[in-house]
Amino acid sequence: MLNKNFLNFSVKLLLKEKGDYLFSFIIFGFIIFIVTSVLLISESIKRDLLVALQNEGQIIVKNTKGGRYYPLNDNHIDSLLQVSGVDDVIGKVDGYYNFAQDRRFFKIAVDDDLNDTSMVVSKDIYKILKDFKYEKEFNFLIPPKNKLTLQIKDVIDSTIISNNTIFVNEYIARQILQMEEDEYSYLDIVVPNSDEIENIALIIPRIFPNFLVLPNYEIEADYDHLYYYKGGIFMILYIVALISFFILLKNQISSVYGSKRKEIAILRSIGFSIKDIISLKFIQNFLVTVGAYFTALMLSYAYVFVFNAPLLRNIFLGEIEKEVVFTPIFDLKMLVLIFIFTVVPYLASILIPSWRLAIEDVSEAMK
Amino acid sequence: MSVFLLDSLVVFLFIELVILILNVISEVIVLRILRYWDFDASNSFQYSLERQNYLVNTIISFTIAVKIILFIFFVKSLDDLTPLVPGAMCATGVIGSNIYGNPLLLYKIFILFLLGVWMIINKLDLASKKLIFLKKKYYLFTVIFIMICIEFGLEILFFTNIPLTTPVFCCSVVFVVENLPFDLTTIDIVYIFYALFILTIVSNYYKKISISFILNILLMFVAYYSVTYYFGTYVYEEPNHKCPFCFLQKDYNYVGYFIWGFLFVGVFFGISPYLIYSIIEKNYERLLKYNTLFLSIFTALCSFFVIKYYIENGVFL
Repeated sequence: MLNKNFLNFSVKLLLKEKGDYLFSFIIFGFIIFIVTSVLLISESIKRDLLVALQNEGQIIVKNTKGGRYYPLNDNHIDSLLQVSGVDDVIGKVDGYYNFAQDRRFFKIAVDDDLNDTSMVVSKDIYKILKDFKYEKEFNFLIPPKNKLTLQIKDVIDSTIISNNTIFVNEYIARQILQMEEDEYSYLDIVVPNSDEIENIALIIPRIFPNFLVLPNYEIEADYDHLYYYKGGIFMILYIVALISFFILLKNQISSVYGSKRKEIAILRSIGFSIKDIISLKFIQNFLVTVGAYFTALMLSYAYVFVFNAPLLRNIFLGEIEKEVVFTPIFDLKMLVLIFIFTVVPYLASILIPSWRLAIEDVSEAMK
Repeated sequence: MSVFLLDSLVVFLFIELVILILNVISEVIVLRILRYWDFDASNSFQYSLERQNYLVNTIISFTIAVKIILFIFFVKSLDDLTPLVPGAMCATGVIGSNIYGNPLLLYKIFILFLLGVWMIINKLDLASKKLIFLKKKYYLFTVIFIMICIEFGLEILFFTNIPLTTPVFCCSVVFVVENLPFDLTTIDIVYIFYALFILTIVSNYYKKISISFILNILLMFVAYYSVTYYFGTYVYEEPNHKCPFCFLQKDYNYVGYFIWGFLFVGVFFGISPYLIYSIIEKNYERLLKYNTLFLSIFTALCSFFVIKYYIENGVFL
């Protein structure tokens, strides 16, 4: 009996009884909203990290001494260039500046488009600097007694990568970080053939046993592991919430259906079969869940990417990262995952109440 | 780190569990029906059994719908696991990483086929008004139920045994040696495939359900080998890339889902008339025309990649 008229009737009946479904619609929508928001935040942060990683070389090399990071020099670059398969080795400068007034470290990163008197800061840093009345320029204090004044040229949006970063050119960065002309914080090794990355990553520690060698796929796997872990723990905890909701839902649906006995009995007596009643209830609940799903999806997109996820962001970000914006993402696989995770158990939990309603004895119900 | 923290696996196992619980409920009712069912009796107990019959039908129909979605989701989850398993570049590495992987995949396809057969028998049963096939269909369901329980166990075994530290073999290693049965060459397999395809269509035309059944089973295995070792290389446009899973990925526009989808749906319609006949002794040969349709689409799709490559490059691989 599944035809257009039947569907039409189901929708009409649903609209008439919308009050009965409002409770499940709102609670179910809220459940989807929370799970979607959390996954969107973690996925967006992960995406930003991976994009940043793509801008680096295939292998990152750091020097260590006594377990601490130690600068590299041109001799290291020359030796690494001898390794076959290595196309180029780029020395990079970065590090942290101790902003003693506020007891925090700013990350110093290099942007060679800037001149010797200017810098670019993130929104988060700009807010801190403003609190200390550095609105147009900032003085870096460099031991023993030098002062380096830079104009704030631009304030950029904070992302998970840039929220704590000040960009200056390489010459200035060396001055702030007190590094010599031929010193580097880490090296980017360019390997054009991706099949050779693994091999080269094994060769380097043989030449320099104290080097920390990080191939890009390993960093990527680390990010993945971290976010699988966070996502997985969250999902497992969330199952508990879901199960309690479905028990609640089953009871609520049963009680609502209890008051609908007469109506169903009338439908049965005008020729609806038990199967039709079950289909009717199934279609109605399917529409409710799909409606709740899409509503919740839109709300959580707005919540995360327009309003920047107030409250929930604190789970993922620290106290200082107040201005971080999330880069919008669209991940169809994640949306399908949420759909299966929520809609299938919902429909499973209404099967039995719908059947109970459908098999009610007609003459009993009409009394 | 445990694979059970991967969110798609958490979701997959959770939904499998929900389905299993629903199936336990229906199996309890099914056993009661099998024991006490008497269509001619007119007491309240028989009446209540008839009403419970509706619940079982609803649950099993729901199970079938969810199982189909979950099967696709399962294959997709295997792809998600690849970054976590060292050495794996596609689902081949993950599925071959322990002894349970390949049997589980075949087993899942087999269960889906049986559920499909159950669905058709159920339709015939409900259409017969007196529910003449009821007991047979519930015996079949009991078999399927036991299989679903074993499947859940196999899934747990498979996922717990995925190695996260020891490297596994990737498709470039697993399929590099042409591991074909009876010392056949790739070209032989392709000829056999086309010959079987034509024979199946002829057999379908003459509605020989038992011959179609045998041909379809043969065709399924031959098609697997010819897609992996021959047609696949044209999808990848590379003679040494032999893998039945890589074309499920985004790089190849998910074309693998269509290739395997048409094959399995086609084979299902080819083998089910015989299975239905042997279970309820009723001819339901009109399914064979869907067998012809889907297998033709499958063959056309596979051949398309070969022809496309030949037109673009003027040579075969």
